Amino acid sequence: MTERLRPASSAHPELSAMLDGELSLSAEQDLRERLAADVALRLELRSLTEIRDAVRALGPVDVPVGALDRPSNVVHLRLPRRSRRGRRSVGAVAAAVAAVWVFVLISVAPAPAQAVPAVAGSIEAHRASVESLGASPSLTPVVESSFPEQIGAGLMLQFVSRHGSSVHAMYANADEQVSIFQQPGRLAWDKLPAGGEMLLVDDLKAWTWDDQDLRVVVFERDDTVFTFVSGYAGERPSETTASNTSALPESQSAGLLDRLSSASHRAALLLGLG
Amino acid sequence: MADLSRRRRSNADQTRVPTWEEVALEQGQFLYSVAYRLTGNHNEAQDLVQEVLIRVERGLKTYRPGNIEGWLGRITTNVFLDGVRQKKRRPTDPLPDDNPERVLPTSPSADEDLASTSLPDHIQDALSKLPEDFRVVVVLSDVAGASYADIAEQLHIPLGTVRSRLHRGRLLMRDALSEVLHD
Repeated sequence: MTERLRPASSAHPELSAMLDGELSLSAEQDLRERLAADVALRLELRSLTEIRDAVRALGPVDVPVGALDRPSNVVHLRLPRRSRRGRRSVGAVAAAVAAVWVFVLISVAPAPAQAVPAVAGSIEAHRASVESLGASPSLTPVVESSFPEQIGAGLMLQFVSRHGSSVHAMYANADEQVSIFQQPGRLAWDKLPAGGEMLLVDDLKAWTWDDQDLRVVVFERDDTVFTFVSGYAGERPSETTASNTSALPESQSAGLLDRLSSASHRAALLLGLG
Repeated sequence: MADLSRRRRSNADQTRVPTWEEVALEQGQFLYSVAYRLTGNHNEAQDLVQEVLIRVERGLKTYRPGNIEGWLGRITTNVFLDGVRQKKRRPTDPLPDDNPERVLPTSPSADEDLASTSLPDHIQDALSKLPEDFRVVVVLSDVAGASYADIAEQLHIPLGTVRSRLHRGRLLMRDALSEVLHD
């Protein structure tokens, strides 16, 4: 029987689609006519049906004891939940500290021509934002920006905040959060962490690496450095990034950022966000 | 399994955000079954489910009530594919021992193995041998009961790619199982 069947490279995906009820009426009618005239095609359909039914018949798998216990390797899951009010207080304090730093350092050093993404600060900011998002969506101030309301993968804009000359935009969908940090300047490639890999994002070079459960992607466009931080639940972070680069604010945003006080950039550096 | 999917759907109130415990209780077997079909063994399935549950805990904060199976399926397959990619980047399989006596398998021959293994085991084995991109689509379709449109959305791939990967996956399984199914 196998000898009469077409090999696995056979290109009749419409057979599977018909089996699964995923063909339009007209396409199905057309396929049925072809089936009536083609024995090999009928055999292929029969074998596909067998395979599909065999997989479907596998049935549910018994769950081993303990497999669904609450994961213990995430420390914060074991901590008693802080009240919503408590979380808001912590967030408010953090925001206030940030604001004070920006204010105090408003007249210091000039903006560097080269931008070194503060990776650790970005990751921290991302984690803190993910944490606070559920508790208090309006915790972080929203500032005017040209970030789109929605980018690829159904990621919706949650907030935009400014830390010195850096802008942090947070996007989320049902299971994934992505932070985009934008700062003016030319990317200092030699200051990026080792151990990453180069990839192409929309024909732009980008540097990517993993930091525990997060994926970080850094690239430069129009004299602006973008740092993407996303969870692994972002599935294919580089693809997500690639599909979203075209939606990023245009270069006039960089100009806007450039007009900000150079001192605030210094503040952002001190905050770990510049 | 498709029946299982329908039962879960009818039992769950999908108009509100479930708690973590509800997800584990009501969707646990579904999650584990998908994980096992993807990985092909219990150890990896348990690791996968644990990672998924961690993400569920985080993700529930921003989860909008709706198709929870689709959401869980997406997280599970993404965690699985991320793990595959990580393994490819940093292979962790130990190097073979110098002493071949200690390395050679003591498992039965292929013929003996064929005779002693049940049909579901053969099916699972063929599934496990599919390239990951094909396997994920076959599992989402035939184990999780997802539509082509749902799979396309979950994996961020075009509908046509879902169709061709599913078809190719089934054909590869057919070739691998031809002896078993027609003996």
